[in-house]
Amino acid sequence: MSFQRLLIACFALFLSACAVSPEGPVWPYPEAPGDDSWGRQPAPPAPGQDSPSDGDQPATSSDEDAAVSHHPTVLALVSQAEEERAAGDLERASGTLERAIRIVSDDPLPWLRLAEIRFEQGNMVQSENLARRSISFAAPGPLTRQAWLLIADIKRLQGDDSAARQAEDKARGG
Amino acid sequence: MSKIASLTLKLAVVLACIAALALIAYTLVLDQQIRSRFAGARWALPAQIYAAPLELYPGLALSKYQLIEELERLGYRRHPRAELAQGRYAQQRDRIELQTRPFSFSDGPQPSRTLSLDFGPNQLKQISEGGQPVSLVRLDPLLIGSIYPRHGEDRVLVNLAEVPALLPHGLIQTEDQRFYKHFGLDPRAILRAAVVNIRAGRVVQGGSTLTQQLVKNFFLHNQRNFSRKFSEAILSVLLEVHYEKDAILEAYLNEVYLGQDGQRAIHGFGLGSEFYFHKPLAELGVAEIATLVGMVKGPSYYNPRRHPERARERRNLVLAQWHDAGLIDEETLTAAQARDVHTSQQTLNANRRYPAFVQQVHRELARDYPDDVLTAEGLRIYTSLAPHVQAAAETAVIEGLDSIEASRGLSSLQAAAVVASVTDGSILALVGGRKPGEAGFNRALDARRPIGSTIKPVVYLAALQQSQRYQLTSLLKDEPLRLDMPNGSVWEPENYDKESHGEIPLFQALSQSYNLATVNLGLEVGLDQVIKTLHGLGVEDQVPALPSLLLGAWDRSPLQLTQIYAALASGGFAQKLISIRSVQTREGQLVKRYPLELADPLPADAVALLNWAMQQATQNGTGRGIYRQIDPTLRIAGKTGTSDDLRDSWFAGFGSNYLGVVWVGHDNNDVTQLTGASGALPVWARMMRMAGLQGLSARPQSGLEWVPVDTESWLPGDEACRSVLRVPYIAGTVPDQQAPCARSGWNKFLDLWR
Repeated sequence: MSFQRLLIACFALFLSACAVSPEGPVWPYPEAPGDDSWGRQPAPPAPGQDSPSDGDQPATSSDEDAAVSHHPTVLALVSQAEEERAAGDLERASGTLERAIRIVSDDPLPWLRLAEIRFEQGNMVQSENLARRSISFAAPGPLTRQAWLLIADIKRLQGDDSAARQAEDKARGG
Repeated sequence: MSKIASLTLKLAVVLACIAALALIAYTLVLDQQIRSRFAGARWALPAQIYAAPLELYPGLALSKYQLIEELERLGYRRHPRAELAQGRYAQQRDRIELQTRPFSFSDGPQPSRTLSLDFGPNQLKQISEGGQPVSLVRLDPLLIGSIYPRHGEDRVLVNLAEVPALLPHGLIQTEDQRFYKHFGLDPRAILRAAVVNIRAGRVVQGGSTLTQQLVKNFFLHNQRNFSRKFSEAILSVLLEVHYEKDAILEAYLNEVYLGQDGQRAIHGFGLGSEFYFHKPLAELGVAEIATLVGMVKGPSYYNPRRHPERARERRNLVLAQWHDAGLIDEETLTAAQARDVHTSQQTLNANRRYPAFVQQVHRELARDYPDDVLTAEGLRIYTSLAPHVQAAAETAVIEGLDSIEASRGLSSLQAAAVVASVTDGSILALVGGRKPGEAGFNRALDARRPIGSTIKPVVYLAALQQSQRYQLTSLLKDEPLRLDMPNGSVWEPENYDKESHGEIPLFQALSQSYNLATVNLGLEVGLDQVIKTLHGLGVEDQVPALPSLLLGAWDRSPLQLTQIYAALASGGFAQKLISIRSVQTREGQLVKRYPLELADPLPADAVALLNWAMQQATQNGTGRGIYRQIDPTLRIAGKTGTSDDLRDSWFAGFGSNYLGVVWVGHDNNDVTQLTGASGALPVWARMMRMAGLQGLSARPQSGLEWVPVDTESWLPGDEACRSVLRVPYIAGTVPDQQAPCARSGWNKFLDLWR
């Protein structure tokens, strides 16, 4: 029986020589070897991409923070999101801001930044709701002013001028 | 004679030619089979489901012990400091040092990091790496399940380049020593096996090469008999012709069958390592690698969980072979052979560890992806499950029910629990019954029961939105009523204590859960307004427009009730409860993000008033039992619920971080003798205490006025009144009329001149 198998195998080997594809032996990876990230040691993250260090400068202007104190981790993530937004990656920036929101949920700053990103993405409904959520966490000050002005812009784009004026009144502290 | 002989010869030649042609044709068919099956995706890869990663940052409310618990869940091992390596941690007083595993997160990869964490009491104080402070870092997330086809294969793919070198070398040494020399079949091994088998008179040794074993598993698992052996041989040689040795070896590492977990077949060393030892292949020690390699010969016979002694013997034999071949030195051999076959119990039922949550994930995925994509394309699903919250919920359900049954002489109670994040509406924990590790009827999703008084906040919210008409101190009539129903019957609701309480302020009617006052209020406000409010809170299905709705004669699942409370907990912003945050391809490409989305908000001021009333319920009302377990300084909003005849017991409540709903009852809908306060409430409180519930903010909300109110007339009073309570009003809705006890207007006028 073993001999039979051997014979057959030899024959098969002989035959299959004709069956080899012209390109020669290939291991058909679904993608180029090396692109496979499964369990592979990943490349180090780009600067500022993953673990914001304490040394990162928050991208927020100083006047808006005068009234509120932000958790340093939140500030680092907001600044990272700012870089991602500047680089045009709005989705990644959204993810980073949501991460900040999950870490400190009642800081109005990342909510407002997320509202601004939704605005850029043209998602006015979410932008307005996020801006309102931001306002709900903030004492009246520079951040709420920015949020109301954002809502005013949204209302104006939606053709609702009276709501836009109301929002502007709120921005002025009315 | 010669004529016959020559005829026979001719016939033989013809037959031989036909046979040869048939063989050629058959070989071509097999060749085609090899090339089509091995090209492209070789395996149907189940979707992998991950829990949310633990985010570590200075200031996080996390004790050293909680971190250790999390690390143990992730399969990190405690070692002395000098032996720190990936997947290990060391502990030193208030400091934990650890080396994380690299992980490709949904927003990019994080390499392995060596961290030093300093703890204060119940707080992570500082994180550093190489002396530099770190402000934020993630642990790798827990793999909580995979979506594999029924009776299907599950595997975690590995690359040859990244497995420990001992694995392929050891495997070749044990299974197929001439692997790099033969052409798919090993005639010497076959002959040797034949000799041994003939001497023994039975099959004791196989001569199969790794290639043949791979072919057998990969192409031929449904065929038996001689023709299989025949095909196997041809296919093995063809495979060797087409593909490099290393490619075949890598395929073998991923294909090999290593045991069974219920209906799930464990394939490949990657999953085998996770399944038996709860750690990645890269972290296995010599003894563990030898155990897995030893299992190849008979995965169930040498199963280290079921037959530890057998597995140990087999492992030690494998180790001895490796030592003889010079793969390991004497010292390693002795150390490895001395070890117990130590398997992890944690992943015994890995896929059944969080069956209730995984079921919810699966249902959400099914809206966007067909089943064959989920079971075949190796998608990576990132979810919101918070393992420590889930552990708290499971423990609370198990211990809570045991304790209720013991103290009240009850039996066979069931329960379900849901915890969601107040911030983003993501589901953090889901318990479908009192045996959370067992799949089966998922009460959190599928047990729809009357929600009783837990609906009342919606009735009061509908009223409070009419802010000129209703304030928290508006007096309601807690008086008997009779309603003629459309079907001719008469509905006569009663209070739980069978009494009526006359005129009481609105907030007290809620905090004391008075039925009569609530029905009177709801009818006054209008059922349509209550139903409209429910829709505003995110309820999508039709709501029965019957007066009994006001007392919660409406069947909801615990998850559906959680959805209703989500908007109340988040200041009026309804959010759809979801368990998935993003989906990636196997290669790390983002397929879909499930972003944080807010529905149009309900009026924030009315919601704030309602939340104040729900805090009264936990401070002085039907929910006050929670403070037997929860820190009394925390402000918590909550509501009890009990269905008719004490069948269903509910509690729903929230702080600033978590929202939770607990149901307790019987599967057969029998009477439990439990109210919301005696059944679901203690389970809820136990769960939230262990999960780390934070209190609601005391920050005054803009747009509200706080007024001292006389607790007899429930009108604005002042220091002249015997007892006042500070109550919030929406600006501009404070009643003009002063309490009789308050200084008269004339006195106030005189005060100006004093």
